[in-house]
Amino acid sequence: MQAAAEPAKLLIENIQKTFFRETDDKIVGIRVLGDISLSVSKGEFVSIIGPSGCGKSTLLRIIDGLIKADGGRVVVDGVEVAGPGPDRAVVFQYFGLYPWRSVLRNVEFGLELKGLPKHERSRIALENIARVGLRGFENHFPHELSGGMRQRVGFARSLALDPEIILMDEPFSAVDEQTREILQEQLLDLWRATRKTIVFITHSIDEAVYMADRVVVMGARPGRIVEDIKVELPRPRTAAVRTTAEFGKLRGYAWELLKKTMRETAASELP
Amino acid sequence: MSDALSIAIESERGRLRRLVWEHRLIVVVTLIAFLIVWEIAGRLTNPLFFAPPSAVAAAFWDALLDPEARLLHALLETLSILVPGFVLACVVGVALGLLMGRSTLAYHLLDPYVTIFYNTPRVALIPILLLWMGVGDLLKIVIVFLAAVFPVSVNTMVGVRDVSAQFTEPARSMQASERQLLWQVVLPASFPFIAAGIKLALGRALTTVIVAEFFVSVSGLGGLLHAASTSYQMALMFAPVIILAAMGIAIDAAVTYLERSLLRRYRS
Repeated sequence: MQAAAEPAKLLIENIQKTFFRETDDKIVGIRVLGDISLSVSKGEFVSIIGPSGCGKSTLLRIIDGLIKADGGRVVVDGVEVAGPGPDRAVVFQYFGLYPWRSVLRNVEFGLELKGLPKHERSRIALENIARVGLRGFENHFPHELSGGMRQRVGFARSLALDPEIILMDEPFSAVDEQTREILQEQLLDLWRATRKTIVFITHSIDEAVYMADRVVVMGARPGRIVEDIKVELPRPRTAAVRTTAEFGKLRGYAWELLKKTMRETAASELP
Repeated sequence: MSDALSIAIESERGRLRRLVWEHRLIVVVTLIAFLIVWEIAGRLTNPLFFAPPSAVAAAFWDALLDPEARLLHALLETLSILVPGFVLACVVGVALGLLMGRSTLAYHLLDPYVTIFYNTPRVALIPILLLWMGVGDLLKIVIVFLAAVFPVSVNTMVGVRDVSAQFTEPARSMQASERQLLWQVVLPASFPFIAAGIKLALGRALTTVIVAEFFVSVSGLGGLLHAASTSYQMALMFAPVIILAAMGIAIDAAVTYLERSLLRRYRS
């Protein structure tokens, strides 16, 4: 619950969304998000997990303003969101880099769009490239980098914009397991250093629990919040946390919830 | 360990080098064989209909070095039509493609005409345009332009419509304006399609400029070809053909080089 003295950084109120799909001779409406409400405090790390089709990526895009909701509103610092803004940045599952731009120019891109002078944007970009450990790769092109390195460019790009909220859409699902663990730790370090508010979408229960202060479990058809689990594992977390009983309990609990919602969804689809 | 490795690398390098020389040798030997057969066939045939490579080379050399510099002059004449027509076609074609790819209104307004023009043989338009513009360089430039503009615009349009959300989403999230989105994202993202359109247009422009020089007013390399043909100078007919072939190969090599160095980045 949000204390009255500290208003929410990010407030999601009764968000609804229906997509329409045209089949052979009729138009079908799919309720992707039923009625989602969620509150995130400043500096909080919130994971969202859910079965595919529960609308978690759509929710992330609605928070960013890339997609308009049919009903409800997104409020950042008391102001309703009307579209993408400088207070929010997205890290995409597919990295979202531009293949014709070097690492430096990719990280500079958002600053370039804002019209920052060249020396300033390259200074900020270089600073953030170093921050994610890619010094020396400024002039490489995305096709010359591994998946993990590309996503680090994606981090650097959103950090360069200095947003207050970072929205991450399954950022590590396209990289291999070992790289994934390294990136998780790096992200936690960056989060601790910058105190950004993070909304983190993942389909890995392990990752959701390991990273977050809260794990929001979603169900599908329509997408809805099933439960909001508080994670009170000590920080800073290292890989050793994964072997603790508390971690196992939380992961098991989230997994049971997910299984239950998936069974319900499957049952509701029976003729 | 590192010594064994460097010896292995050296031997691999040697093998690759030998392979390259082998391929070159095959090309040279077959080329010489081809020229010999041509020479023999050329000498045995009536010179009105065919010429051996030795005569072609002599005619080429004469045309190149004659006091009026006929061949060079013809080449410059052809380029003075080809270059403006083609460059204009690229600029207008890309602009038209961007417009039609981004705006549904522009697409529905312009698409019928683009389809009609794209599928009409350019030669069929020459008599009509001849009536409107008269005989002259302008008409020829317009004909080349018409031949080249539509492959560029159609390809650009397809490329623009194909631009994935993976390119537009990040830019929109970073609050790119419509204009920034168009120039910084959509245009470069469509580049592989635009390059393919330009390559297609180059071939068409090259063909069309010769056709125009045949039909509109005799000039340039097409004119030289025409003149040599009507005066039964078989050997001289090959001179512009050689230049055109060389131009085609050079242009193709340049475009391929550009594709390799730039488009490499687009493949992940």
